[in-house]
Amino acid sequence: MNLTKKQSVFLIISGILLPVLCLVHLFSGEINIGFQDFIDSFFNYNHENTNQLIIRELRLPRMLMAVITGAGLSLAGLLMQTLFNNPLAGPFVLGINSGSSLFVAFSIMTGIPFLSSDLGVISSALIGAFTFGILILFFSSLVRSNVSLLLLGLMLGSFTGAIVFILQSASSSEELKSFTIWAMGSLQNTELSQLPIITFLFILGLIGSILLVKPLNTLVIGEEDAILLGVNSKTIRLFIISITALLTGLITAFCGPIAFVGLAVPNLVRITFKTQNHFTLIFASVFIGGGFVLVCDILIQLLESNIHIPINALTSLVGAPFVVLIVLKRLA
Amino acid sequence: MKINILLFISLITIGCRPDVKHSNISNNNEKSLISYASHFELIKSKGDFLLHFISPDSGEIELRFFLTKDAENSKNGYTTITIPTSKLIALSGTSIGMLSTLNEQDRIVGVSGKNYIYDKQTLERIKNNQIIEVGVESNLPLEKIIQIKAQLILYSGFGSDFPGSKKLNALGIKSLPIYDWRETHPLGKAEWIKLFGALSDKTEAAERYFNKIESKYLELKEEVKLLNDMPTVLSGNILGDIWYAPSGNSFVAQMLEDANVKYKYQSTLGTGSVQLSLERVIKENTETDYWINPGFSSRDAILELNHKLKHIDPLEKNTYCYSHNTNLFWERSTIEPHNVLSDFIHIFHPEVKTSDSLYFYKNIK
Repeated sequence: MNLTKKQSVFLIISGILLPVLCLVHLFSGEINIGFQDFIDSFFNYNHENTNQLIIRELRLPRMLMAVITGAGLSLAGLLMQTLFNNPLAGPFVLGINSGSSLFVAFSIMTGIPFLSSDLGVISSALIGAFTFGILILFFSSLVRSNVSLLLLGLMLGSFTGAIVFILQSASSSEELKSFTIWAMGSLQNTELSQLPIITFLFILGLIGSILLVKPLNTLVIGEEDAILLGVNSKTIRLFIISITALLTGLITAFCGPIAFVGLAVPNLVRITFKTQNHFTLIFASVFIGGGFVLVCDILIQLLESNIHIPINALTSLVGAPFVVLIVLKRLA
Repeated sequence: MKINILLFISLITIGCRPDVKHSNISNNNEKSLISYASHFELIKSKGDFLLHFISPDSGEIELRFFLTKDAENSKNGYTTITIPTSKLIALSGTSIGMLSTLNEQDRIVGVSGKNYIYDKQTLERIKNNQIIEVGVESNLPLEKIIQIKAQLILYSGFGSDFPGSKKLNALGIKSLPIYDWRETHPLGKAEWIKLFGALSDKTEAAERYFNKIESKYLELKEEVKLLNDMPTVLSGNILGDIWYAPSGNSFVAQMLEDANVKYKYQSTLGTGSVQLSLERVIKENTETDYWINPGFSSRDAILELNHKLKHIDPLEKNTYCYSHNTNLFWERSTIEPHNVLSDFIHIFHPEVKTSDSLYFYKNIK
């Protein structure tokens, strides 16, 4: 790994900033909590002390989920952008999120108890993400143009949106309410007890991505050249889609569909680091993506006493203009 | 989409209520029939009625109708409706509830959808194709409505304007906003039955019914007024990351006050809802006695929504919801506020025997 001095500095700063933001996030809720309660919530936990309960049961899972959401979606976006050699690719734009949403809608609104359980929703989100990942991979083998692929992704989104709308009009009010609430997106739904498995799956995706660094670096020069250099294109594509589906499905299941993080952060990372070395890009995406969602959630909590903004709305508010900027820059 | 969901979301998103400007009645031949409702006026003028709809947003009169039995009659500045009207399209459950209370549901020729109806007779008439389903008010099938020769559409007014009202009006089909859901007093909501009474030429029956429930409601309120034991109550639930609780001047808060309980957010301003963070709600409700209207009919469904709701103390034993029969609640609770209050007293003051069992509410398991 050959990093320039500037790249090293950026990577170190973003690496240090992430835990700092984690700490700031833990202290940024609506309730003022003293340092002693903060420490005790980790080392001398008393569940009858509400302040300690808030830190441990509410803020800690929310903070970790913000990091995993930002890091995971950014990583998924980075992989898709490299796979399709397209800076506008991402799990949201290419319909992976839509796949998850569609399958979750089925699971919540069919009224079958197992499907609407936690396990049912998580499995559905993962299967949906993987199915749509494979579908978009298949489409990419049929069309060469990046624009066509993006259009196909948008069509997938519209198609699933229509099915979800039909499901909504046929579902009971409680099912509809459950789905609407899930679709609003939230970092608050995760429980402390669920974090080990979420963290494990995220790390699995991260390790998988690190193992793919070499082929990813080769894919940047174009798929045909990569094949000439000995890359097993089909297997690599399947691996990339699997990791993307795992990360996107996991996050969508627990937090609902969260837009633009997977599209905006990898582009920001590429612009900042000016490298095609995926080892650097992967870690930078994880640090900056995690930090980005943390900052969004800190902002949400700071504004909470005046205005409540859903996480999905804020990431879109920040991410959408950034994407417009990228498009305009490419056109210029 | 869904009437219930729209109602639910609308109830939690209403802002503050402007000052309502009622008409001054100077004419001795005119008599206002309204005492509690803020968003409509019904004035008896000789044998006819003047009907004014007051915008919940501006507080100004936005629509004026002249209800008369003589089709030849008219009044300047008013749209004439000949009563009794037949062939009504009732887009909200409360309209069906009010018409069925007056035993006038035969006038209904169209509803939003059968999934949201409780009234057995209306369901039977849908089954027999005597009533058509027209869907939501933002996307009505105008041709179908013309085909069945509907005369009047009763809509909820979730949006500012009723879509297609101009076209419908040009075709002689009038549309009336039923703003009962924007009223802040439980008896103000129920008082809308007087409008339905006027439309179906059953004014006296409507007044008799209203007077009866008004007495019952006030009697119940009086019965618990002096009780010293005032349990604490939390209401609402989380949507996304935000907890929506009824504001201090909302009709839910009014009803809780009438049930002589300490509603946790009674001191908040506004007639809609107050938005709170989950951590604040948990912090402030560790010792709250009761939780009402969580929006779901089982503890599992609530926990599936967000596992952290297990920290709301009353969830274990003292959570009550109307969701076990949502259609019954939406259709009848407006017209039976005394039964809602009776349920509240049954729940919060079990020592006072108002009824043997709960009517709308259920202790969720």
